[in-house]
Amino acid sequence: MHKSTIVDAISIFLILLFVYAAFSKWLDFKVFQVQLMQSPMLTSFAPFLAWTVPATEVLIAFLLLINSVRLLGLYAAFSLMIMFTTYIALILNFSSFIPCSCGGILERMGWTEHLIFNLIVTMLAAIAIMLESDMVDIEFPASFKQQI
Amino acid sequence: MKRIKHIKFITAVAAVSISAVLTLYSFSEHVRTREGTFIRIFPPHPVLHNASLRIDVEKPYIAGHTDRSLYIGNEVSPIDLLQIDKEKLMTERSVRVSISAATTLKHFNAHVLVDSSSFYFFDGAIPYLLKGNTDQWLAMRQSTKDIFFQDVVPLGDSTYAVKSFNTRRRENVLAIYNPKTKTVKQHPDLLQRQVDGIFCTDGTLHFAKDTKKVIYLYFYRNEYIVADKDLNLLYRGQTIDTVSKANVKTVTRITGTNTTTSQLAVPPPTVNKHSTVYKHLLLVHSNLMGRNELPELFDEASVIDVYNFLQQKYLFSFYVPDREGKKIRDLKIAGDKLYALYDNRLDAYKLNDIYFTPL
Repeated sequence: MHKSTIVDAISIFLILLFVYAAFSKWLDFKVFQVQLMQSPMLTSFAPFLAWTVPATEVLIAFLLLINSVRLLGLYAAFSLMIMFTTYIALILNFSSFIPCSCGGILERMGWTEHLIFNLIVTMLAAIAIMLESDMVDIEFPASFKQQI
Repeated sequence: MKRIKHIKFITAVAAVSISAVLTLYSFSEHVRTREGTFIRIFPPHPVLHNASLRIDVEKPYIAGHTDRSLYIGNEVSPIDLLQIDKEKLMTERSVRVSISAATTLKHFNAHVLVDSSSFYFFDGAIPYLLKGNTDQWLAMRQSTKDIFFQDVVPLGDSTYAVKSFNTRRRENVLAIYNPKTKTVKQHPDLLQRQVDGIFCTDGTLHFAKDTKKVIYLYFYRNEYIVADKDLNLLYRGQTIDTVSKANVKTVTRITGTNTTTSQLAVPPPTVNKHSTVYKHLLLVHSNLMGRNELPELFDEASVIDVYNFLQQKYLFSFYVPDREGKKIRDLKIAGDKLYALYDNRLDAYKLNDIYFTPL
Protein backbone atom coordinates (compact mmCIF):
# COMPACT_ATOMS: atom_id res chain seq x y z
CA MET A 1 0.00 0.00 0.00
CA HIS A 2 1.18 3.47 -0.78
CA LYS A 3 2.41 5.48 2.16
CA SER A 4 0.07 8.39 1.50
CA THR A 5 -2.92 6.02 1.43
CA ILE A 6 -2.05 4.78 4.92
CA VAL A 7 -1.62 8.35 6.18
CA ASP A 8 -4.96 9.27 4.58
CA ALA A 9 -6.68 6.29 6.16
CA ILE A 10 -5.28 7.02 9.62
CA SER A 11 -6.12 10.71 9.27
CA ILE A 12 -9.70 9.95 8.26
CA PHE A 13 -10.01 7.58 11.19
CA LEU A 14 -8.66 10.22 13.60
CA ILE A 15 -10.94 12.91 12.12
CA LEU A 16 -13.99 10.67 12.60
CA LEU A 17 -12.89 9.77 16.11
CA PHE A 18 -12.30 13.37 17.21
CA VAL A 19 -15.42 14.77 15.57
CA TYR A 20 -17.45 11.97 17.10
CA ALA A 21 -15.84 12.55 20.51
CA ALA A 22 -16.50 16.29 20.35
CA PHE A 23 -20.10 16.02 19.20
CA SER A 24 -21.04 13.29 21.63
CA LYS A 25 -19.85 15.69 24.36
CA TRP A 26 -21.75 18.64 22.95
CA LEU A 27 -24.95 16.67 22.34
CA ASP A 28 -24.99 15.58 25.94
CA PHE A 29 -23.15 18.55 27.33
CA LYS A 30 -24.68 18.36 30.78
CA VAL A 31 -23.65 14.73 31.15
CA PHE A 32 -20.13 15.64 30.09
CA GLN A 33 -20.03 18.49 32.62
CA VAL A 34 -21.17 16.09 35.33
CA GLN A 35 -18.52 13.54 34.31
CA LEU A 36 -15.82 16.19 34.57
CA MET A 37 -17.20 17.28 37.93
CA GLN A 38 -17.04 13.68 39.12
CA SER A 39 -13.44 13.18 38.07
CA PRO A 40 -11.28 13.53 41.17
CA MET A 41 -8.46 14.90 39.07
CA LEU A 42 -10.29 17.25 36.72
CA THR A 43 -13.04 18.55 38.97
CA SER A 44 -11.14 21.69 39.97
CA PHE A 45 -10.92 22.71 36.32
CA ALA A 46 -14.24 21.26 35.18
CA PRO A 47 -15.90 24.47 33.87
CA PHE A 48 -12.81 25.36 31.80
CA LEU A 49 -12.26 21.86 30.40
CA ALA A 50 -15.91 21.34 29.51
CA TRP A 51 -15.45 23.80 26.61
CA THR A 52 -11.79 23.47 25.73
CA VAL A 53 -11.67 19.68 25.37
CA PRO A 54 -14.33 19.33 22.62
CA ALA A 55 -13.11 22.55 20.95
CA THR A 56 -9.58 21.14 20.81
CA GLU A 57 -10.87 17.91 19.33
CA VAL A 58 -12.67 19.76 16.52
CA LEU A 59 -9.64 21.96 15.91
CA ILE A 60 -7.42 18.89 15.53
CA ALA A 61 -9.94 17.36 13.13
CA PHE A 62 -9.68 20.53 11.00
CA LEU A 63 -5.89 20.43 11.03
CA LEU A 64 -5.99 16.82 9.85
CA LEU A 65 -8.41 17.75 7.09
CA ILE A 66 -6.14 20.37 5.54
CA ASN A 67 -3.16 18.88 3.68
CA SER A 68 -0.68 21.64 4.40
CA VAL A 69 -1.06 21.39 8.18
CA ARG A 70 -1.78 17.68 8.44
CA LEU A 71 1.56 16.88 10.08
CA LEU A 72 0.83 19.51 12.74
CA GLY A 73 -2.60 17.92 13.17
CA LEU A 74 -1.07 14.48 13.57
CA TYR A 75 1.30 15.78 16.23
CA ALA A 76 -1.59 17.47 18.01
CA ALA A 77 -3.67 14.28 17.83
CA PHE A 78 -0.72 12.29 19.13
CA SER A 79 -0.18 14.74 21.98
CA LEU A 80 -3.87 14.74 22.96
CA MET A 81 -3.99 10.95 22.91
CA ILE A 82 -0.87 10.77 25.08
CA MET A 83 -2.43 13.20 27.55
CA PHE A 84 -5.68 11.27 27.63
CA THR A 85 -3.82 7.98 28.08
CA THR A 86 -1.72 9.44 30.89
CA TYR A 87 -4.92 10.68 32.52
CA ILE A 88 -6.46 7.19 32.36
CA ALA A 89 -3.29 5.61 33.72
CA LEU A 90 -3.27 8.07 36.63
CA ILE A 91 -6.98 7.51 37.33
CA LEU A 92 -6.51 3.74 37.32
CA ASN A 93 -3.47 3.73 39.54
CA PHE A 94 -3.39 6.77 41.79
CA SER A 95 -6.93 8.00 42.20
CA SER A 96 -8.90 7.46 45.40
CA PHE A 97 -11.74 6.21 43.22
CA ILE A 98 -12.37 5.60 39.53
CA PRO A 99 -15.07 7.78 37.99
CA CYS A 100 -17.70 6.68 35.48
CA SER A 101 -16.26 6.58 31.98
CA CYS A 102 -16.72 8.33 28.64
CA GLY A 103 -19.78 8.91 26.54
CA GLY A 104 -20.94 7.38 23.26
CA ILE A 105 -19.72 4.02 22.04
CA LEU A 106 -16.76 4.15 24.37
CA GLU A 107 -19.15 4.15 27.31
CA ARG A 108 -19.34 0.37 27.17
CA MET A 109 -15.58 0.09 27.42
CA GLY A 110 -14.06 -0.31 30.84
CA TRP A 111 -11.11 1.88 31.74
CA THR A 112 -8.60 -0.87 30.97
CA GLU A 113 -10.07 -1.50 27.53
CA HIS A 114 -10.06 2.24 27.06
CA LEU A 115 -6.39 2.35 27.94
CA ILE A 116 -5.63 -0.29 25.28
CA PHE A 117 -7.79 1.48 22.69
CA ASN A 118 -5.97 4.73 23.44
CA LEU A 119 -2.56 3.13 23.07
CA ILE A 120 -3.54 1.74 19.66
CA VAL A 121 -4.84 5.12 18.48
CA THR A 122 -1.66 6.77 19.81
CA MET A 123 0.46 4.25 17.90
CA LEU A 124 -1.53 4.88 14.72
CA ALA A 125 -0.94 8.62 15.06
CA ALA A 126 2.79 7.99 15.57
CA ILE A 127 2.92 5.74 12.49
CA ALA A 128 1.14 8.38 10.43
CA ILE A 129 3.61 11.00 11.64
CA MET A 130 6.54 8.83 10.57
CA LEU A 131 5.09 8.15 7.13
CA GLU A 132 3.95 11.74 6.62
CA SER A 133 7.34 13.09 7.65
CA ASP A 134 8.99 10.93 4.97
CA MET A 135 6.98 12.88 2.44
CA VAL A 136 7.09 16.39 3.84
CA ASP A 137 9.86 18.05 5.67
CA ILE A 138 8.99 20.48 8.39
CA GLU A 139 11.21 23.16 9.73
CA PHE A 140 11.65 22.72 13.45
CA PRO A 141 12.06 25.77 15.63
CA ALA A 142 15.71 26.62 16.16
CA SER A 143 15.50 26.08 19.90
CA PHE A 144 14.31 22.54 19.39
CA LYS A 145 17.10 21.81 16.89
CA GLN A 146 19.62 22.72 19.54
CA GLN A 147 18.06 20.25 21.94
CA ILE A 148 18.50 17.40 19.47
CA MET B 1 17.95 11.21 8.96
CA LYS B 2 14.58 12.86 8.67
CA ARG B 3 12.99 9.91 10.38
CA ILE B 4 15.37 9.99 13.33
CA LYS B 5 14.65 13.66 13.73
CA HIS B 6 10.94 12.89 13.88
CA ILE B 7 11.37 10.02 16.31
CA LYS B 8 13.15 12.43 18.60
CA PHE B 9 10.45 15.01 18.09
CA ILE B 10 7.68 12.48 18.76
CA THR B 11 9.43 11.42 21.95
CA ALA B 12 9.74 15.05 23.01
CA VAL B 13 6.03 15.68 22.32
CA ALA B 14 5.12 12.56 24.31
CA ALA B 15 7.32 13.65 27.22
CA VAL B 16 5.86 17.15 27.26
CA SER B 17 2.30 15.77 27.06
CA ILE B 18 2.87 13.31 29.90
CA SER B 19 4.46 15.91 32.14
CA ALA B 20 1.64 18.36 31.38
CA VAL B 21 -0.89 15.84 32.70
CA LEU B 22 1.29 14.94 35.69
CA THR B 23 1.58 18.62 36.54
CA LEU B 24 -2.19 19.00 36.21
CA TYR B 25 -2.66 16.01 38.50
CA SER B 26 -0.45 17.29 41.30
CA PHE B 27 -1.82 20.79 40.85
CA SER B 28 -5.41 19.55 41.10
CA GLU B 29 -4.66 17.68 44.32
CA HIS B 30 -3.07 20.85 45.64
CA VAL B 31 -6.03 23.03 44.64
CA ARG B 32 -8.58 20.62 46.05
CA THR B 33 -6.97 20.11 49.43
CA ARG B 34 -5.95 23.74 49.95
CA GLU B 35 -8.10 25.45 52.54
CA GLY B 36 -10.85 27.71 51.28
CA THR B 37 -11.15 26.32 47.77
CA PHE B 38 -14.44 24.54 48.52
CA ILE B 39 -14.27 21.80 45.91
CA ARG B 40 -16.42 18.73 46.42
CA ILE B 41 -15.52 15.31 45.11
CA PHE B 42 -18.23 13.07 43.74
CA PRO B 43 -17.32 9.39 43.48
CA PRO B 44 -19.63 7.20 41.39
CA HIS B 45 -22.72 5.94 43.21
CA PRO B 46 -21.84 5.96 46.93
CA VAL B 47 -25.55 5.32 47.55
CA LEU B 48 -28.15 3.62 45.36
CA HIS B 49 -31.86 4.32 45.55
CA ASN B 50 -33.57 1.31 47.00
CA ALA B 51 -37.20 2.07 47.91
CA SER B 52 -39.67 4.86 48.66
CA LEU B 53 -42.58 5.18 51.04
CA ARG B 54 -45.36 7.74 51.36
CA ILE B 55 -45.49 9.37 54.79
CA ASP B 56 -48.83 10.88 55.77
CA VAL B 57 -47.97 12.87 58.86
CA GLU B 58 -47.33 16.56 59.23
CA LYS B 59 -43.85 17.85 60.02
CA PRO B 60 -42.21 14.44 60.25
CA TYR B 61 -38.74 13.69 61.57
CA ILE B 62 -36.72 10.50 62.01
CA ALA B 63 -37.01 9.55 65.68
CA GLY B 64 -34.52 6.70 65.47
CA HIS B 65 -34.39 2.98 64.93
CA THR B 66 -34.28 -0.45 66.48
CA ASP B 67 -32.79 -3.54 64.84
CA ARG B 68 -35.88 -4.11 62.73
CA SER B 69 -37.75 -0.83 62.53
CA LEU B 70 -37.33 2.81 61.76
CA TYR B 71 -39.51 5.33 63.63
CA ILE B 72 -40.94 8.51 62.21
CA GLY B 73 -42.11 11.09 64.73
CA ASN B 74 -43.96 14.31 64.03
CA GLU B 75 -44.04 17.72 65.61
CA VAL B 76 -47.83 18.11 65.50
CA SER B 77 -48.74 15.10 67.60
CA PRO B 78 -45.50 14.28 69.40
CA ILE B 79 -46.69 11.09 71.13
CA ASP B 80 -47.50 9.35 67.84
CA LEU B 81 -44.92 7.45 65.86
CA LEU B 82 -44.94 5.48 62.64
CA GLN B 83 -43.14 2.18 62.83
CA ILE B 84 -41.56 1.27 59.51
CA ASP B 85 -40.02 -2.04 58.52
CA LYS B 86 -36.42 -1.18 57.66
CA GLU B 87 -35.93 -3.95 55.11
CA LYS B 88 -39.20 -3.78 53.18
CA LEU B 89 -39.72 -0.06 53.81
CA MET B 90 -43.37 -0.56 54.70
CA THR B 91 -45.42 1.06 57.45
CA GLU B 92 -46.01 -1.66 60.03
CA ARG B 93 -48.16 0.20 62.53
CA SER B 94 -48.69 3.37 64.50
CA VAL B 95 -47.23 3.58 67.95
CA ARG B 96 -48.50 5.86 70.70
CA VAL B 97 -46.23 6.75 73.57
CA SER B 98 -48.03 6.49 76.89
CA ILE B 99 -46.93 8.55 79.83
CA SER B 100 -46.67 6.90 83.22
CA ALA B 101 -49.48 7.71 85.65
CA ALA B 102 -49.52 10.79 87.85
CA THR B 103 -47.83 12.88 85.22
CA THR B 104 -49.67 15.23 82.94
CA LEU B 105 -47.40 16.85 80.45
CA LYS B 106 -47.83 19.74 78.12
CA HIS B 107 -46.06 19.84 74.81
CA PHE B 108 -44.20 22.80 73.54
CA ASN B 109 -41.39 21.27 71.54
CA ALA B 110 -41.72 17.59 72.42
CA HIS B 111 -39.76 15.00 70.49
CA VAL B 112 -39.16 11.26 70.63
CA LEU B 113 -35.80 9.65 70.22
CA VAL B 114 -35.56 5.90 69.63
CA ASP B 115 -32.24 4.21 70.31
CA SER B 116 -32.37 0.41 69.90
CA SER B 117 -34.49 -0.95 72.76
CA SER B 118 -34.88 2.37 74.59
CA PHE B 119 -36.84 5.43 73.70
CA TYR B 120 -36.86 8.95 75.12
CA PHE B 121 -39.68 11.44 75.22
CA PHE B 122 -38.60 14.94 76.04
CA ASP B 123 -39.40 18.59 75.87
CA GLY B 124 -36.56 20.83 76.93
CA ALA B 125 -38.74 23.94 77.00
CA ILE B 126 -41.22 22.66 79.65
CA PRO B 127 -38.89 20.82 80.73
CA TYR B 128 -39.03 17.05 81.06
CA LEU B 129 -37.05 14.01 79.98
CA LEU B 130 -38.73 10.61 80.04
CA LYS B 131 -37.43 7.18 79.19
CA GLY B 132 -39.00 3.83 78.37
CA ASN B 133 -38.47 0.69 76.38
CA THR B 134 -39.74 -0.04 72.90
CA ASP B 135 -41.68 -3.15 73.97
CA GLN B 136 -44.15 -1.20 76.06
CA TRP B 137 -43.77 2.38 74.89
CA LEU B 138 -44.39 3.59 78.42
CA ALA B 139 -42.40 6.72 79.20
CA MET B 140 -41.31 7.35 82.76
CA ARG B 141 -39.72 10.34 84.40
CA GLN B 142 -36.11 10.00 85.36
CA SER B 143 -36.20 12.86 87.79
CA THR B 144 -38.89 14.82 89.60
CA LYS B 145 -37.63 18.03 88.11
CA ASP B 146 -35.60 18.31 84.93
CA ILE B 147 -33.38 21.09 83.67
CA PHE B 148 -34.14 23.29 80.67
CA PHE B 149 -32.38 22.27 77.50
CA GLN B 150 -32.59 22.88 73.78
CA ASP B 151 -31.17 19.62 72.53
CA VAL B 152 -30.37 16.28 74.11
CA VAL B 153 -28.64 13.03 73.19
CA PRO B 154 -28.66 10.01 75.50
CA LEU B 155 -25.19 8.62 76.15
CA GLY B 156 -26.54 5.21 77.16
CA ASP B 157 -25.43 5.12 80.79
CA SER B 158 -28.30 7.25 82.22
CA THR B 159 -26.34 10.39 81.41
CA TYR B 160 -27.19 12.81 78.65
CA ALA B 161 -25.31 15.37 76.63
CA VAL B 162 -27.45 18.50 76.46
CA LYS B 163 -27.27 21.89 74.86
CA SER B 164 -28.44 24.25 77.54
CA PHE B 165 -28.28 27.91 78.47
CA ASN B 166 -25.81 29.43 80.87
CA THR B 167 -27.73 32.28 82.47
CA ARG B 168 -24.72 33.95 84.00
CA ARG B 169 -22.75 34.06 80.76
CA ARG B 170 -25.95 34.48 78.74
CA GLU B 171 -24.87 31.96 76.15
CA ASN B 172 -25.44 28.41 74.99
CA VAL B 173 -23.41 25.74 76.70
CA LEU B 174 -22.93 22.01 76.32
CA ALA B 175 -23.33 19.99 79.48
CA ILE B 176 -23.57 16.47 80.85
CA TYR B 177 -26.86 15.93 82.63
CA ASN B 178 -27.67 13.08 84.94
CA PRO B 179 -31.35 13.17 85.94
CA LYS B 180 -30.94 10.38 88.50
CA THR B 181 -28.35 12.26 90.53
CA LYS B 182 -29.71 15.66 89.43
CA THR B 183 -26.26 16.81 88.44
CA VAL B 184 -25.33 19.07 85.58
CA LYS B 185 -21.76 19.58 84.53
CA GLN B 186 -21.32 22.44 82.11
CA HIS B 187 -18.45 22.65 79.63
CA PRO B 188 -18.43 26.29 78.56
CA ASP B 189 -15.18 25.94 76.62
CA LEU B 190 -16.76 23.85 73.88
CA LEU B 191 -19.09 26.32 72.17
CA GLN B 192 -17.25 29.41 71.06
CA ARG B 193 -19.11 32.70 70.98
CA GLN B 194 -18.69 34.71 67.78
CA VAL B 195 -21.56 37.18 67.92
CA ASP B 196 -24.25 36.79 70.56
CA GLY B 197 -23.41 33.38 72.07
CA ILE B 198 -26.92 32.13 71.39
CA PHE B 199 -27.77 32.10 67.72
CA CYS B 200 -24.18 32.11 66.52
CA THR B 201 -23.44 28.91 68.45
CA ASP B 202 -26.63 27.16 67.41
CA GLY B 203 -26.23 23.71 65.93
CA THR B 204 -26.98 20.01 66.17
CA LEU B 205 -25.85 17.60 68.85
CA HIS B 206 -25.02 13.98 68.00
CA PHE B 207 -23.72 10.96 69.82
CA ALA B 208 -21.72 8.51 67.71
CA LYS B 209 -22.37 5.28 69.57
CA ASP B 210 -19.73 3.07 67.93
CA THR B 211 -16.87 5.43 68.65
CA LYS B 212 -18.41 6.94 71.83
CA LYS B 213 -17.93 10.51 70.68
CA VAL B 214 -20.18 13.51 71.11
CA ILE B 215 -20.32 15.63 67.96
CA TYR B 216 -21.63 19.16 67.76
CA LEU B 217 -22.11 20.71 64.33
CA TYR B 218 -22.71 24.47 64.08
CA PHE B 219 -25.51 25.62 61.82
CA TYR B 220 -23.98 28.90 60.76
CA ARG B 221 -20.26 28.27 60.44
CA ASN B 222 -18.01 25.61 58.93
CA GLU B 223 -17.07 23.84 62.11
CA TYR B 224 -17.85 20.76 64.16
CA ILE B 225 -16.68 19.80 67.62
CA VAL B 226 -15.67 16.29 68.63
CA ALA B 227 -15.66 15.50 72.35
CA ASP B 228 -15.52 12.36 74.42
CA LYS B 229 -18.41 11.03 76.54
CA ASP B 230 -17.50 13.40 79.38
CA LEU B 231 -17.46 16.35 76.98
CA ASN B 232 -13.72 16.80 77.03
CA LEU B 233 -12.74 18.48 73.79
CA LEU B 234 -10.90 16.17 71.40
CA TYR B 235 -10.81 18.25 68.24
CA ARG B 236 -12.52 20.88 66.16
CA GLY B 237 -13.02 19.94 62.54
CA GLN B 238 -13.84 22.08 59.54
CA THR B 239 -16.56 21.52 56.99
CA ILE B 240 -15.43 22.22 53.44
CA ASP B 241 -17.26 25.49 52.82
CA THR B 242 -15.65 28.83 53.56
CA VAL B 243 -18.03 30.32 56.14
CA SER B 244 -15.77 30.46 59.18
CA LYS B 245 -17.73 33.19 60.94
CA ALA B 246 -21.44 32.91 61.70
CA ASN B 247 -23.23 35.69 59.86
CA VAL B 248 -25.70 36.34 62.65
CA LYS B 249 -27.24 39.73 63.26
CA THR B 250 -29.37 40.22 66.33
CA VAL B 251 -31.48 42.97 67.79
CA THR B 252 -32.09 43.44 71.51
CA ARG B 253 -35.63 44.22 72.52
CA ILE B 254 -36.71 45.56 75.88
CA THR B 255 -39.46 43.23 77.03
CA GLY B 256 -39.92 44.39 80.59
CA THR B 257 -38.51 46.85 83.07
CA ASN B 258 -35.45 44.76 83.70
CA THR B 259 -35.54 42.19 80.92
CA THR B 260 -34.37 42.24 77.38
CA THR B 261 -34.54 39.54 74.76
CA SER B 262 -32.24 39.02 71.87
CA GLN B 263 -33.80 38.19 68.53
CA LEU B 264 -32.51 37.51 65.09
CA ALA B 265 -32.59 40.61 62.91
CA VAL B 266 -32.45 38.58 59.72
CA PRO B 267 -32.43 34.82 59.30
CA PRO B 268 -28.75 33.90 59.10
CA PRO B 269 -27.51 31.88 56.12
CA THR B 270 -27.42 28.29 57.27
CA VAL B 271 -24.28 26.40 56.34
CA ASN B 272 -25.03 22.96 57.73
CA LYS B 273 -28.76 22.25 57.61
CA HIS B 274 -29.16 18.60 58.57
CA SER B 275 -26.68 16.05 59.74
CA THR B 276 -26.25 12.59 61.16
CA VAL B 277 -23.44 10.40 62.42
CA TYR B 278 -22.64 6.82 61.53
CA LYS B 279 -19.67 4.90 62.91
CA HIS B 280 -16.73 7.30 62.37
CA LEU B 281 -18.57 9.35 59.77
CA LEU B 282 -20.36 12.65 59.97
CA LEU B 283 -22.85 13.28 57.16
CA VAL B 284 -23.87 16.86 56.56
CA HIS B 285 -26.56 18.25 54.33
CA SER B 286 -24.89 21.47 53.34
CA ASN B 287 -26.70 24.52 52.06
CA LEU B 288 -23.78 25.90 50.06
CA MET B 289 -22.72 25.10 46.51
CA GLY B 290 -19.12 24.15 45.88
CA ARG B 291 -16.98 25.89 43.27
CA ASN B 292 -16.92 22.93 40.90
CA GLU B 293 -20.64 22.18 41.03
CA LEU B 294 -23.32 22.76 38.42
CA PRO B 295 -26.13 25.04 39.68
CA GLU B 296 -28.69 22.96 37.74
CA LEU B 297 -27.74 19.88 39.73
CA PHE B 298 -27.28 21.63 43.05
CA ASP B 299 -30.71 23.29 42.86
CA GLU B 300 -32.46 19.98 42.35
CA ALA B 301 -30.81 17.96 45.09
CA SER B 302 -29.57 17.99 48.65
CA VAL B 303 -25.80 17.68 48.75
CA ILE B 304 -24.47 15.43 51.50
CA ASP B 305 -20.84 15.85 52.56
CA VAL B 306 -19.19 12.94 54.33
CA TYR B 307 -16.44 13.51 56.89
CA ASN B 308 -14.33 11.18 58.95
CA PHE B 309 -14.65 12.98 62.28
CA LEU B 310 -11.89 10.92 63.91
CA GLN B 311 -9.37 12.16 61.36
CA GLN B 312 -11.16 15.50 60.79
CA LYS B 313 -11.03 14.78 57.11
CA TYR B 314 -13.44 15.48 54.30
CA LEU B 315 -14.03 12.28 52.32
CA PHE B 316 -16.57 12.84 49.54
CA SER B 317 -20.03 14.12 48.68
CA PHE B 318 -23.13 12.85 46.94
CA TYR B 319 -26.52 14.16 45.89
CA VAL B 320 -29.88 13.08 47.22
CA PRO B 321 -32.47 14.24 44.66
CA ASP B 322 -35.32 16.59 45.55
CA ARG B 323 -38.78 15.06 45.68
CA GLU B 324 -41.77 17.12 44.54
CA GLY B 325 -39.45 20.10 44.46
CA LYS B 326 -38.54 19.71 48.13
CA LYS B 327 -35.18 19.12 49.76
CA ILE B 328 -34.69 16.58 52.53
CA ARG B 329 -35.85 17.49 56.03
CA ASP B 330 -33.99 14.77 57.89
CA LEU B 331 -31.51 11.97 57.25
CA LYS B 332 -30.28 8.92 59.13
CA ILE B 333 -28.16 5.86 58.54
CA ALA B 334 -29.47 2.61 60.02
CA GLY B 335 -27.97 -0.74 59.17
CA ASP B 336 -26.77 -0.71 55.58
CA LYS B 337 -29.10 2.04 54.41
CA LEU B 338 -29.40 5.77 54.34
CA TYR B 339 -32.90 7.14 54.95
CA ALA B 340 -33.83 10.51 53.51
CA LEU B 341 -37.02 12.07 54.84
CA TYR B 342 -39.12 14.63 52.93
CA ASP B 343 -42.37 16.39 53.86
CA ASN B 344 -44.43 13.36 52.90
CA ARG B 345 -42.05 10.75 51.65
CA LEU B 346 -39.24 8.54 52.89
CA ASP B 347 -36.52 7.24 50.56
CA ALA B 348 -34.10 4.44 51.36
CA TYR B 349 -30.67 4.28 49.76
CA LYS B 350 -28.36 1.31 49.89
CA LEU B 351 -24.86 2.27 51.05
CA ASN B 352 -21.98 1.28 48.82
CA ASP B 353 -19.60 -0.62 51.13
CA ILE B 354 -16.49 0.69 49.41
CA TYR B 355 -17.18 4.16 50.73
CA PHE B 356 -18.90 3.52 54.04
CA THR B 357 -16.84 0.81 55.74
CA PRO B 358 -14.17 1.93 58.21
CA LEU B 359 -10.93 2.99 56.64
